[in-house]
Amino acid sequence: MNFFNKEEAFDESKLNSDNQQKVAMLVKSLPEEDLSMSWRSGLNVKLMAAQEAKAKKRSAKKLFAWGSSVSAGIAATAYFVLMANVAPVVSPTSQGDSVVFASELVKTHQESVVLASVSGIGSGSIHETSITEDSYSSLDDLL
Amino acid sequence: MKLNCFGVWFGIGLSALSLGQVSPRGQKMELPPELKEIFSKAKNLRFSGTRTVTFVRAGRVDSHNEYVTKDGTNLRIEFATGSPFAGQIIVETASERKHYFPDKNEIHEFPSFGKKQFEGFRSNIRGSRSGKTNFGSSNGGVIAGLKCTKYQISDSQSNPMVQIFVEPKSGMMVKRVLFDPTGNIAGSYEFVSLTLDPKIQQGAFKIVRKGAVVIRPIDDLRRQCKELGIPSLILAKKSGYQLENVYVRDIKGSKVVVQSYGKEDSRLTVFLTRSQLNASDLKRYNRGELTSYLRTLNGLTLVIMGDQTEDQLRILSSQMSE
Repeated sequence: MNFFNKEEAFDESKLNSDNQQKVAMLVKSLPEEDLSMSWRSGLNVKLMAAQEAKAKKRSAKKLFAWGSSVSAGIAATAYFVLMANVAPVVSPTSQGDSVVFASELVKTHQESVVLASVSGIGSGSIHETSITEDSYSSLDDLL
Repeated sequence: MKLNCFGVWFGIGLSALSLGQVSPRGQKMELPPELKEIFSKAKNLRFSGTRTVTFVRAGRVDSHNEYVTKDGTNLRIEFATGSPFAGQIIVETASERKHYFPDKNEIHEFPSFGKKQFEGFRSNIRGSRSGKTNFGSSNGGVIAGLKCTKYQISDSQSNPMVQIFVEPKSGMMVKRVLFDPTGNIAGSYEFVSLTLDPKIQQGAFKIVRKGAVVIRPIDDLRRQCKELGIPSLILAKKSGYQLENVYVRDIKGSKVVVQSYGKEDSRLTVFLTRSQLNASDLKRYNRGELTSYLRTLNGLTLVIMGDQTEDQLRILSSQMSE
């Protein structure tokens, strides 16, 4: 028996020992598959959480981008509305528009002359007063 | 010395011209002596009454009742219930006119309208197309219990321009009718009840309203022009015209600032807009009592319209400044 054979014989005897047999039995009885699945499940949960976080970041980015576009749109609209008020667009471009425009100016002047002559309200007040059926009356306060 | 005197008189003459003391066609306007006497009496009238005011706009007739109290140069106007102006009160003295708007709690201050409503009507009879006017008088019937004489002013073609119904002894102008160029009524007032020499409440010609915001036409002009981003050009005081009203009209989608100016016997309207307008389209309306002048300044269109000559309007337009 050489040295190696001696060792093999030694190992053999160890492997066949009662303790070793018990450990082998214990290992065999361990639910290997279950362990693997729970680990996988845990990993899946972590991955899903990571994916959700990523998706949230992405949607936040999208929302930010969309929001920026909407804000830019609103700002642009507001700008044009304000600009339209500040500097009205030159409108009567056609000959027909200019004719109608001139006619309206003449009518406005004539109305002003007539109103100043026959009524106490004056020409501006007729435009300032909103003509409604339920106009304010001081008499209403007395009733 | 003689030269200096000539210079002074020449200057005075020019000033009178620029202030529009003569008619637009260069003829001094004279009223018949009968009417002069009536208007002279009317200056010191004391009365209170209710009048129906009718105003025709684009063929639509609008009417409302006004309660009027007058004592010489002092005037108070209130509006009947149901009128679109109900609740508003106007008080006028020789120097100013105050218009109270209860819904806005604002008092709008204007220069006095003066004699325009009851003691004069020269501005109504300016410049018939041929430059001549015809006066005629007839029995005006009984209005508000007063026997009246009717005076009609027509152009040389007998187109009626103005009718007034006056109680001759007092000079009380009980009714006035204005006609448009097509012979239709443009506006009128007629007293339906009248008391001469009434007892007038003390303080009737004052408006005291604590907390009310006082607004002058110049304030209105600046605010409206600022909102529209256009310079708030106003006619210089030396022109003799006073700014009475300012408002904004929307014409063909464009905002137009409308300014009404008045003086004793003349009225002007000034328009400011960013819209372009052909001067020829305005000039086709130039006749008799209506002339207009257009100028453009850095994209701003200024139109001045009234009963003056085109030359006078051009001079006035050069007196517009911020």
